[in-house]
Amino acid sequence: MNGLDGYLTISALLFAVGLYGVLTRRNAIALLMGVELMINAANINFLAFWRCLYFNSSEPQIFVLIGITIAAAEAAIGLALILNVYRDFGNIEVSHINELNG
Amino acid sequence: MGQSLQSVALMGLGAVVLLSGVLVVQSRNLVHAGYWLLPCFLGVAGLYGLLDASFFFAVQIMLYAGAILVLILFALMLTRDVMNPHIPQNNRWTIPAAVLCLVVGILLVYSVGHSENPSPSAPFHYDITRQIGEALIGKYVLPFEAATLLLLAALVGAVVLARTDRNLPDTAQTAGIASDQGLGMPSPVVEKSSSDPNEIRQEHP
Repeated sequence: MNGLDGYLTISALLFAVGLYGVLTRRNAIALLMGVELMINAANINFLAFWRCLYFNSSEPQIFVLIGITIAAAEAAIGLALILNVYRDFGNIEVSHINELNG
Repeated sequence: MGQSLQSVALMGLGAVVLLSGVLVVQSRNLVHAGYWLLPCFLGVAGLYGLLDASFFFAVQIMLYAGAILVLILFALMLTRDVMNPHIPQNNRWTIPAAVLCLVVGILLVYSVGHSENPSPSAPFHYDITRQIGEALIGKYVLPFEAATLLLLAALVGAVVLARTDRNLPDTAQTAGIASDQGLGMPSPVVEKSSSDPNEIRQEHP
């Protein structure tokens, strides 16, 4: 369990857990938590591949760094949007925000 | 570190990450779910440490366990009904979603088990922070600048979106009053209304 296998297994399971959160949660912020778990799983994968296979290249690290930056921007914008929706609708349950539903 | 010790650490960190991840998606109290993100992120930081990625160990703790977690907790506490354990926080698709995620997880783990399994190469004495820094100002300067631009736009966008008074004329008016007061020579019209700044907002909502 020490090699690439262990890391990939952990990140695959973490991804599945995050997917479950995204599929089942009703609250938009809890949905965002599931997305964060999935992003973390992807980052573990990148760094595991870098350490075990592409040891001398810096591409995986740049990928992870830019990915973390984008995750931070996504969290800031997402939470600002959610607060706005909360102000307009009074709650942030994703199934209730259906004004554009045809 | 010996190989066996390393695999014990890997399994322990994996257990911490997965257990707290399950609690994050399963807690009825969303504030508890937010707090369970902390061991999850710290466990991921530990995995980065095991992978000799010291820079990302620090970044994970500062950015995820520090910034993003605090942001999520603040947003949770600013909205209603998240602490009430009697309100179900999961929708009615729980069982189909669990089956789907189980299938996805099993497929991923199965495909991991059927690929080659190289171990981390021998211990290395590489300065990965230096390596990243040189790559960022050399070959990857363009993605780096794009990321900085994205962060700037995200910051400005978040501030604009989360502002309370989005009524533009109203904002201009209050801003004008503020600057006049700052100069110490308010015009008569402004002086009359500046006695109660909240009153203006109620007049022009």
